[in-house]
Amino acid sequence: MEILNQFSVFGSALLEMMMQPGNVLLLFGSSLLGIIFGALPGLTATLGVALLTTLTYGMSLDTALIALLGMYVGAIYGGSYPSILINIPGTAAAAATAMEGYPMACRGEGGKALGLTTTASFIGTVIGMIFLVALSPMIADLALQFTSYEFFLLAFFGIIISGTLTSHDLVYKGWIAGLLGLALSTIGRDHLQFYPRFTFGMPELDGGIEVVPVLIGAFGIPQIIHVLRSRLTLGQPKEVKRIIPDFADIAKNMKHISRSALIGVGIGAVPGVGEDIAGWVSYGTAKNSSKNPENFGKGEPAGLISSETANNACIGGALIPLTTLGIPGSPPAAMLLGALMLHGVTPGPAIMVEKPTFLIELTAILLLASLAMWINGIYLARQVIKLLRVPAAIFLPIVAVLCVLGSYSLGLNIFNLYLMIPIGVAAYFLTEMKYPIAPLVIGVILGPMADENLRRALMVSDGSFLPFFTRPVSVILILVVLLTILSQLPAWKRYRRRKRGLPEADEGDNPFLNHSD
Amino acid sequence: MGADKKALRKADLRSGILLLLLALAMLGMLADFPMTDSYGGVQNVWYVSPALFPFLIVIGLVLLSLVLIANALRTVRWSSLVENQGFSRWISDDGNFRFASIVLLLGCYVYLLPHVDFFIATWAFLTAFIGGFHVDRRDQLTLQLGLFVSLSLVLGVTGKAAEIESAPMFDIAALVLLALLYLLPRMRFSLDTEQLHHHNQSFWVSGVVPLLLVPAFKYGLLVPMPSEGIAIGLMESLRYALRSLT
Repeated sequence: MEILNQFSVFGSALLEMMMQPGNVLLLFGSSLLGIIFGALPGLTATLGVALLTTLTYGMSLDTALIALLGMYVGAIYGGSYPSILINIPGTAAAAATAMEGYPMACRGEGGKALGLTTTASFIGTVIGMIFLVALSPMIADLALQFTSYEFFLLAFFGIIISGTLTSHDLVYKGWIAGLLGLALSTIGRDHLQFYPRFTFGMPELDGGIEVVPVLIGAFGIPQIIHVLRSRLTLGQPKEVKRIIPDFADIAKNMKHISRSALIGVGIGAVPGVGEDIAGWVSYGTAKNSSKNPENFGKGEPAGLISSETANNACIGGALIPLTTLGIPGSPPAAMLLGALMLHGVTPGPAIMVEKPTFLIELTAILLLASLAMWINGIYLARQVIKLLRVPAAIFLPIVAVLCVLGSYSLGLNIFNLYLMIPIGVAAYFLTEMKYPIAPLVIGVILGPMADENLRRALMVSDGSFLPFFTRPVSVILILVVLLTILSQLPAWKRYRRRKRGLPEADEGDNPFLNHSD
Repeated sequence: MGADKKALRKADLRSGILLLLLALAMLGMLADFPMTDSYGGVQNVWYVSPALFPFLIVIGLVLLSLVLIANALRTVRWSSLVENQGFSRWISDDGNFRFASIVLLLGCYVYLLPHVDFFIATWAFLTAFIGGFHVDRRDQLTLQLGLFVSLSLVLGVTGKAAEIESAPMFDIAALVLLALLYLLPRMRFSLDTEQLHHHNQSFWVSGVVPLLLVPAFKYGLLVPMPSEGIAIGLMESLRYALRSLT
C-alpha cells in the first residue's frame, strides 16, 4: 500500500512538472548548458551547479532543483565529448572514457561512441535514481536514531575517507586539505555561544564564510589559471556525422552496465568521493574481468560503457548521503547541499518527516533530467561539438566574469569577491602541489555540523568521551576511521605489498588512484 | 627519484612549514578565546568552549605538517628552502608570467568593480584578458596588463582619498582605458593578419558579453550590478523609452 502511494506521488510529481512548459524548457536548457559545461575543458559540473545556484536563488525549490539537477546530469555526461573527439577529458569524470572513446573516433566511429555514452549515461543515472529511492528511506530511518555522537563521527569520517580516496600524492595531503576546510568553517561567530572566532574585528566575517563563493573560487579560479597558463589547445575534434545509439551493443554489455552502475552508486555514496573515481574503478574492473583485456585501449565498447555508466550512476549514489545524512557524496552534491540550504531545506534524516515527498520529487526530477540529457545528447551533440572550437582564451575569461557575478549575486556583497579570489589562488597552489580540493570543500560544509555536534555531545555527557565508545554506531564509525588511517601507514602498506608479492611502491602512490595497467 | 617528485617534495617542505606556522598562529589566537571564564553571562567549561573544535584542528594540522616536513626531508634538504631563482628569473618564465597576469587582472577587476560602471569595467577587463591571451603576444599582454592595473590603482586610490565610491569621471576614465586597450596595440605592435583578427575579435566579444549579462542579471534575475554608472544608466533610459513606446 505504501509502495502504491509512493508510485502515485511519483507519477503526479512527474506529470505536474511535465505539464508546465516553463519547467520543461528550463529542464532542457539547463541540461544543454550542463552538457556544454561538461564538454568544455576547464569547466566542471561543480562550477556549473555553483553558478546556476546563484541564478536560481529567486526561484521556487522545485524549479531550482530542475535546473540544478539538469545541469549536474548534463555536465557529468558532457565530459565524454572532448574525451572521445579530442582525447582530452572535459571533466575528470570522463578521463577513463578517453581510453576507448578516442580510438573509436579515430577509426570513424565517433558517432557510435557518442551514442553509446549517451545511452550508457542515461541508464546509469536511472539505476542510480532507483537506488536513491530504494535505499534512502532505510538510511534515513536508521539516521533518525543518530545523536550528536554519531553525527560528529560521520562528519569526521566523511573528511577522512574523502581525503584518503581523492589524494593523488601522499594520502595525508587529503587529510590536511580536510582540516583546512574545517579551519575555514570555524571563521565567524560560533553557533552555541556566538563568540567571534578568527574574524579579526571585521563585521563582514561575523556570519562566517559563504560556501558558494568558496566553491566557485576553489573550482573555477584554479581551472582558469591552469588552462590559460599551460596554453592548453584542444585541437580539431574528430568528424561526427550522426549520433547513433547502438542498442545491440548496449544489450550485449548489460553485465558491464549492471556492475558499473553498482560501482557508481557505491562510490557516489562515499562522502566527497566523486564521479572521476567511479569512472576509473569501473573501467579498471571491466578490463580486469574481460575475456579479451588486450582489446582495451583500442576502442572497446565495454570499457566506454562501463566508465560512463558508473560516473552517471554516481549521481544517484551521491544524493543518498546528501538527502539522508546531510553529507554530500561528491563535490557537485556539496554544491547542491549549499543550494538546498539557500532555499531553506536542510537535508538530513529529518527531511523524511518535514518534507515526506521531497525524495520522490527529487527522483522524478532526476528521471526527467536523464531523459532530457539523452534527447539533448542524441539530437544536439553536433551543435555542442562546434563549441569545442572556441579557444580557451575566449571562453575562460568569460567564465571568470560569471564567477565574479555569481559570487556577488549571492547577498549582493562585494566582500564575497574579496574572499573568492584569494581562496581561488590558494586552491590553485594547493592543486599544483597535489592537495585534493574535494576534502577542503567537504570540510567547509561539514565543519559546522562537526563543531556543534561535538560540543552538544560533550554537554550531554558532562565532558565525558565514554559514550563515544559505548554506542554501537559510534564504535563502528571509530573503528572504520581508525582502520582507514592505519591502512595508510607505510609499515602496513609495505606488509600488504609483501604479502601480495608486489614490488615496493613509491611512497607517493595512492592505490585508489593507480590508473596504470 | 624523478625531477617532478623532487620538486613536489620541495613544495611539500615549503607548504609544511607554512601550515605549521598557520597552525601556531591559530593556537596563539585561541589563547584569547573563553575556555573557562564566563562569556555573555554563560559560565564556560572546556567542552562548551568555542576554542575546543579549532584546538582539535590545530593539533591535527601540527601533527600532519610535521609528518609532511619529515617526509619531504627524506628527499630534499633544508637548504632547498632558500633556493631562489630571483623574481626576474621567475617572471621571465612564460607560464609564471601568464599566472601572474591572470591573478593581477582578476584582482584589479574585483578592486575596480565598486568604483566603475559594471558594463564598462567588464568590457575593459575582458578586452585586457581575452586580448592579451587570444592574440598571445607577451608584449601586448604586458601593455594591456599595465594599463588595466594602472587604472585600477589610480581609481581605487583616488576614490579612497576623495572618499567617494564611484563617479561619472571614473566611468569616463575607464572608457578612455578601453579605447587605449583597443588602439594602442594596433598602433604600437606590428600585428599580422591573424593577430589583428584575434585582437578585433577580442574587443567585440568583450563588448557583447556584458551586453548580454547585464540585462539578464539586472532585468531577468533582478540582481543589481555592483556599480551602475553611465553605461547602465543609458540602458535604463533605453528600457524606459521602450516601455513608454509599448
